[in-house]
Amino acid sequence: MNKRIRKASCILVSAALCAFLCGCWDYRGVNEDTVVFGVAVDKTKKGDYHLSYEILDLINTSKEKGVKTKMIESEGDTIFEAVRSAKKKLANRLYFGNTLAIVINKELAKGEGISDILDCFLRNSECRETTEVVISEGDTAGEILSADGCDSAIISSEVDKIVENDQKETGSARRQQLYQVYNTLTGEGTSLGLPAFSITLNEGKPAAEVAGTAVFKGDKLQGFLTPEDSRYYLFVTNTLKGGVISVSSQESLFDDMSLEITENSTDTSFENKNGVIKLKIKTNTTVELSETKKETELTTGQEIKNIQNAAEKKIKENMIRVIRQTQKKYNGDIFGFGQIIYKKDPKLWNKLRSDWDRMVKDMDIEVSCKVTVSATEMMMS
Amino acid sequence: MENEFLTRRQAICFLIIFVLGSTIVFGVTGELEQDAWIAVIGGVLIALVFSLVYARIMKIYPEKSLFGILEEVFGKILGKVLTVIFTWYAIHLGAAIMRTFTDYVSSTALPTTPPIVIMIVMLAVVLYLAKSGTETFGKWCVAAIMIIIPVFISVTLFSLKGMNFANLLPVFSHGLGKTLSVSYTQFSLPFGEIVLFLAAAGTVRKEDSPYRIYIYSILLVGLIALIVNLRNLAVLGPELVKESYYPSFTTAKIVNIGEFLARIESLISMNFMLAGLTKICFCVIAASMGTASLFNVKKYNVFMAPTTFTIIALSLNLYKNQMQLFEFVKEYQFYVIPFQIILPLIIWIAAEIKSRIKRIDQDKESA
Repeated sequence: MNKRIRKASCILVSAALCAFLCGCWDYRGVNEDTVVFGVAVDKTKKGDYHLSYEILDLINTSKEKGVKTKMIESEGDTIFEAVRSAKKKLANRLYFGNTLAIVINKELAKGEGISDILDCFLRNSECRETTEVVISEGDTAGEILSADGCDSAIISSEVDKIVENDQKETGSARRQQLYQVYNTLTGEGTSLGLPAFSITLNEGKPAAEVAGTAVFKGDKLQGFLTPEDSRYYLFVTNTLKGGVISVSSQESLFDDMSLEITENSTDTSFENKNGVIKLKIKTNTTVELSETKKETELTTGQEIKNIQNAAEKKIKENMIRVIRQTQKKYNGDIFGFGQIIYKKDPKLWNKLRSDWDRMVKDMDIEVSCKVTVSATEMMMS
Repeated sequence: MENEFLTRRQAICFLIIFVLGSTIVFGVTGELEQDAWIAVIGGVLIALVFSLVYARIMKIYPEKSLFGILEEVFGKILGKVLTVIFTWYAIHLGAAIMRTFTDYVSSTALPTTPPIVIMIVMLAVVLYLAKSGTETFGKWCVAAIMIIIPVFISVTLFSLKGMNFANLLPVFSHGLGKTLSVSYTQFSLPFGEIVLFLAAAGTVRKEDSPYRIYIYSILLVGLIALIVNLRNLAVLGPELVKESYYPSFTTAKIVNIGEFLARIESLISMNFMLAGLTKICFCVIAASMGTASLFNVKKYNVFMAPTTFTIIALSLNLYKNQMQLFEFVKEYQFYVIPFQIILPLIIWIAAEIKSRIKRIDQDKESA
């Protein structure tokens, strides 16, 4: 008898457990989500947020034509309201777990700042902290995402890849992922520099391209650095890992040589002499000669030395120029000089903090550059 | 039930999991920003001092549980009052952990599942584990640590790439006073919670030194907590660690190695689940032991189900929302002073006196 009850209860419990096996409570199938690859944030004339999302176009995607994407647009008083109101015209809910890039309108970044926007994405548990944040230099942010990808069907993925590899390949923008942006915004003695994107024409069609760096003070956009100037911004902040520097040989007036950067390290320190602070920036760059017009014997030491000197001079002059120009024009400290002082001497920083923006403008800066040509690639001359 | 013992290894494993139960998910060291890890060291040091007190109590009355000790030292009435106090501590701790757990699951994985469902599913496992007896519980601890430690190590190794050690600078910029006060907070949560192990003091054999158990486990878990803290700071930066509810989870979210090894945050959830289960389970065991001794019932097993349900009810009603829970964590350090510091000290001193008197009496009798 007892055995029978035992058997019966076993069966009953197993049957009850089956209820748990059939799925999870919070089940959401892939077919119930619309995956968002990128978000562009704009503002309407009325003052509402206007969001554009790049999603996979399942209607037009086929084996023959490949992956197609399309844009969904929605508006709302706040970012999140806009996100949810997109559901009004969609069968599925938008899913942000795979969002690769957030593009922000420059007027919006200038007027209201980017804190609100980033907060919404950082707070949401669905979004990744590793999303790339970029600023659109054009009129709207949506135009970046509605451009056609050049070698990727998904433009957000292209933006993500461009930003990810830029420091290594071209050296024209500094990659800042969402969580790093937050740290820079709330950190001591530093301002934000985000990658800027603009639309150019490629085969007559619009394509997104890196357009240098967007300079911030606090969470408000101040202006832009050109891609060329951005390289020196990367130099100063020790974030440059590649890119090309063109220099001119001694006799020529124009740049006729390309040096590809293979390695760079920048060491910034400061010196405090009776309250007078002097910044010392030291760069150490290894380059390879990748192109030259001149027919010279590159194996001779003197010629290489000349090239090195020319490159050193160019880097040094440009670094000082970019630092001074940026400080004068935009009033911020995107180079993070204040942070360097804060990290090494927090007591000194506490004294300087209130007056830092003014002080850093007339601060003595000593730049010394060292360039080593490590190879001339496959040719001797 | 009387004869079931934990081995030394099981006891150490248990204590490690017990402390990790809360640290692995949230660190309440926000105020110190990049110096948070110093507070962890401070917390460990304070915990070492108090663990000597706890261990001494165990040493004086070997193979006896806390509630037995209370009655022997303070007599029937006062002993029972103290038993109620410690039982409350166990139940409340269980409820708080339970609530942390459900909030965590709700906000990271199952947003639309009602919290009560998560709680019931979880507590079914807890109850089953508690009912299985001390020996099974001990073995479970060893098995769980075999998962928890490798997961902790692998997440730390994977996140090496994203670490920026400049985040730790400037070192020691918050002054001694603040550092000490946060060190104390670190002691009260999680290290001081090991006082509850006294409830299971009866399961430690006479031959196993309680000092060794306490000190080993505190040093080991202190090391883990230190590494977790340093890792989160180095990956996230002090500002984000300060602001995020679950820094370890966020750290794991950022890990991305070679495009394919990403989204490993579920590993962190798994760790928390294992550690949380064990911790709540022990709170249930301790609370039912207390209740049993309160009513002079030999078998404390019968009180496990009621205790579990009390914990569910309490955890649903203790806090209105997630913010309140984390707000309470700030007051928690004052709330636990009697349980972790004052009462153990009183028990210790009283036990010393009582045991001396007893010995003198015995000497007299034999003479």
